[in-house]
Amino acid sequence: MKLVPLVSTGGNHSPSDWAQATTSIIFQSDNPAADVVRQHIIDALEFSYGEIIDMERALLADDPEHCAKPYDISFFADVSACLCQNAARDTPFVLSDEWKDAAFQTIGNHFVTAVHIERLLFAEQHPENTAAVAYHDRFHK
Amino acid sequence: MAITSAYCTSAKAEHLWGAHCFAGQVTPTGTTSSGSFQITSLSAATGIAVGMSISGTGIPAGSVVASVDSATAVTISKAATASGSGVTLTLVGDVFKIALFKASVVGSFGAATVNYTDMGSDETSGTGYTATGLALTNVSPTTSGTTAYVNFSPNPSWTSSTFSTDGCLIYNTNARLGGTSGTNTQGAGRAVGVFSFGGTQAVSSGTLSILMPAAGSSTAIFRIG
Repeated sequence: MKLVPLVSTGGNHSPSDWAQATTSIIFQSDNPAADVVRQHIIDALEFSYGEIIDMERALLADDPEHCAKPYDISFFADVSACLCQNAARDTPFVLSDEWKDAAFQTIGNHFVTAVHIERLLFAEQHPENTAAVAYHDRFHK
Repeated sequence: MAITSAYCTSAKAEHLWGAHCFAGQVTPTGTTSSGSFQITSLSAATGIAVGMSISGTGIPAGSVVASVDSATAVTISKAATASGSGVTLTLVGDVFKIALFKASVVGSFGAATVNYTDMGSDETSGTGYTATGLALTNVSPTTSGTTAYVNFSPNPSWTSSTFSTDGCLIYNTNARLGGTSGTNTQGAGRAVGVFSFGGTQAVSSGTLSILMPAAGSSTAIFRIG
């Protein structure tokens, strides 16, 4: 039941911080030889976090109703889970399909949270956006 | 004193009483008839439980599911105010919230914690944090092997915040079970789990997120094995 707090000094967490936090949950090994696999996973996730955060910011800027729409991260989560599984290729470690399925759940949850934070921050900066304020109030009232 | 991570003992008994509904949101369509308590022609009744809140065009605020009548019909607690077919309905279980303890709490919190009101002055405060904490979004219970578990998504996040915290409490805001819960005589605020962060977490004009453990049979935040 361990919870992992993630703290930033402003705005959303950086893609690097997100990648480190997600990796600490989906890939846990004390074996020093696992460091290469761990770093490959971090690199794959950092790229994906950068993509989804940039995409969410663009959508928020372009669509006044965006905050009323469902999260749309499943494609990125699916691709990222595959990339993470492939991180163990050519190493002694085997990341099974069951591992990938579990990683997909955590990666998806964290991607949604990164998007969620962008929406919260957007609402705080745009009180005139009805959809964004309604989104913010769902959690903060 | 201290914060000890634990599945609250009172919550275990409350599960057997039916006091907590972790059901996630479902959005079937159905037919409403003005003045009628029954909704018919549901596209699906899967995931609908008695007591879930229900909203949609023609559904009065505060309505809940009174009974599941068939695979295509439910009765709700308030009569519809409009007639319509193919109406999108939104149903969800209880609203759980996460509240944060301050740094260096005075009281002891863990398995014996029974209600949000137990936190008292040990709840944190500061910029960006509102007393009672944040609402969580339920992800419907599921199973793996012989274990059932629940999860929440997205993870809770406090943006533009400045405060410190040593742990958190997850509790149910719905009063699904009557009677006293701790010092709360209305039955709401029942504690489900207490979690230590293993040290003080401080955020300064930034974002604090609490990342839930992986949603699996040996890792998920609440599990029945």
